[in-house]
Amino acid sequence: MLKKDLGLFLLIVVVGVVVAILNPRFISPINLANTANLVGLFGLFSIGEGFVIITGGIDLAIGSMFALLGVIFIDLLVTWRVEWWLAVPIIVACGVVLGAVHGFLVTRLKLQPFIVTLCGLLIYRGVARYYTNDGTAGFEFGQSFPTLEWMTAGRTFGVPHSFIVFLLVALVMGVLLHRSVFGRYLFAVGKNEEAARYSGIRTGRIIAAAYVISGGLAGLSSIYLAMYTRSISPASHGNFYELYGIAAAVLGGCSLRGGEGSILGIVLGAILLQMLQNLVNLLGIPSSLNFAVMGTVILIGVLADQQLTRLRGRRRL
Amino acid sequence: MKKMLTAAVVAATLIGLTGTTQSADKKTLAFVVNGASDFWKAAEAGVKKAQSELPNYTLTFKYPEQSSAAIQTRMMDDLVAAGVAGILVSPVDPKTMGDALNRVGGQVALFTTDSDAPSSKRVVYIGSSNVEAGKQAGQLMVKAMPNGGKCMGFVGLPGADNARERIDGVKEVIKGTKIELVDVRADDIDQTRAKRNVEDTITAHPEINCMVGFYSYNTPRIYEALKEAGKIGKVTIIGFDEDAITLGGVKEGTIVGTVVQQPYEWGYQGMKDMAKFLEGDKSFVPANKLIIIPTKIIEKDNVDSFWAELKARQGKK
Repeated sequence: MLKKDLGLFLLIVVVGVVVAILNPRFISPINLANTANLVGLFGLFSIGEGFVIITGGIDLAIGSMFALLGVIFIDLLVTWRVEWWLAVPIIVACGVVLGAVHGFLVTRLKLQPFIVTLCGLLIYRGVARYYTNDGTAGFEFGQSFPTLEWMTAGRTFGVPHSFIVFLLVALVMGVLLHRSVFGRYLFAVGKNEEAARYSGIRTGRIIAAAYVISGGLAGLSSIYLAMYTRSISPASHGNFYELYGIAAAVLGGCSLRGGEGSILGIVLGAILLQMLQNLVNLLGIPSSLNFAVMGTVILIGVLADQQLTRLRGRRRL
Repeated sequence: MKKMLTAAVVAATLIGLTGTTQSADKKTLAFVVNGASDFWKAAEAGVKKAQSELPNYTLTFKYPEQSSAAIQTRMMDDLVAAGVAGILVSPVDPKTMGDALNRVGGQVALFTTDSDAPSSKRVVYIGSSNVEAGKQAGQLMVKAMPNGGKCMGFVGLPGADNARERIDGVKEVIKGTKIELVDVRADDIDQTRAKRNVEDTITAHPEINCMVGFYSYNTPRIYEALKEAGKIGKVTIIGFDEDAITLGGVKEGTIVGTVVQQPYEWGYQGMKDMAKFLEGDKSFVPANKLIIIPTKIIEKDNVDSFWAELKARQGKK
């Protein structure tokens, strides 16, 4: 565990202990399970966002992808009566394709990631709304998909499956980022793309791969989000969710300049963000203050991290 | 040259997209909504019905691309510039849109619907009274819980007029009874948060035995969260509007009832009245300039007929 991640872990423990003292129901199994479910939902795409941020890029299109892929997913199941085991890989593949398009535009056509994914944000939202003619896509009353629901919204011994999938993905991505050649290259490209290229790394492919990973994970989480809300109004579904991903990644020690970050950090970041949402409800804080609480804690977290790094830097001198 | 070519292509695309040609002899009336949702589909059907009875007018139905006052204002200004004779609008934010509404009202016939702007130059308001709708929901609560209860409300935007008026209406009726509205949790029209608010309420307030969904999507999220927690049937649910899950729950008997508005009538009567007004007949405008189309209580005994009618109007099977 890096020292950075340790700091974030301590912040989570402190916030958790304080909330648990104020309202002991916070640590009741059902509440932990509910929160774990949301950590899973939001954590999945935060990991993808983290990969892109490590290359020094950014993915702003994620929230709109949820709307587009979500309405397509529900449409496949409800209108076209496609079997769920076929619909799920189709949606993940769509996510991968969109990610590949972003990667292509960024690496081959040399467009800035911010612009590429900003256009994606606008285009996908617009297409999603056109697709449903500005209506809501949802399941019919009483319609159920037992196996799919078990895999997405189900729980085993109280542990939500979305959280288990999230942990598995985090484990695989952790090995990929921290124990593989690809991961080494990713950090190298993020720190200094030119230097990486001169040392023989095919930087374009590495960066494009990060967008593909982000797109694929966004595809996967759009299925989980769709199965959680079970109804999607494309005008508002997933609005600003990319910012939750960016916030989790930054909280977890990813630098927006690229070249820094860890999967463990992103996981902890996602946990902290969902804990904050949870505590607003449990402590009866007015819902209007929700975002203010989140912003304040992120600011404190990043500030503390910055100061600790400076302190360590000075000690080294 | 290249730039000019691009500009020409863009211009050609835009002309292709608009498609609607306005004939000079027919007057155009526009219905401008406050954002995209299924709710307005019924109003659209009402406008279509009015169109069949008003051959001398061209009726259009406009969705602003975002639910924001600025974008809606721009849309109305564009319509006025394009030469429409009248606008029926559901203002996004009547309080801050006074100037814009007066500007439009000074040039064309302006009617408001859904939420009123009483101090503006509008001819008349035609729509529901949300206070009355809230009172009807309150009556449902009193009827369903003669021995009293502790209720939690859920809403998208608690500061919006329609939400405040509905909440006030409920409070007015339950005052003096043993029913108490403990709090109203907000979600900013984010359905993921809407569902988690319900889950957190189940955890934090086990004593809550009644839940009220003030916005159309709140009631389905209440239904699903309670179902997943195994508490369906143990908590009294009262809703607003006509989501398919809400109506399904009413039919099933797990939701006590829902209070619905009649957007079909707003669209139909609004357009007919506007045509009358333009032809010089102002007799339909009451002294208080409010044409209230009553809200309806939907319970188990009338849900089937209402649902069939709604499906026909929304153009669904």
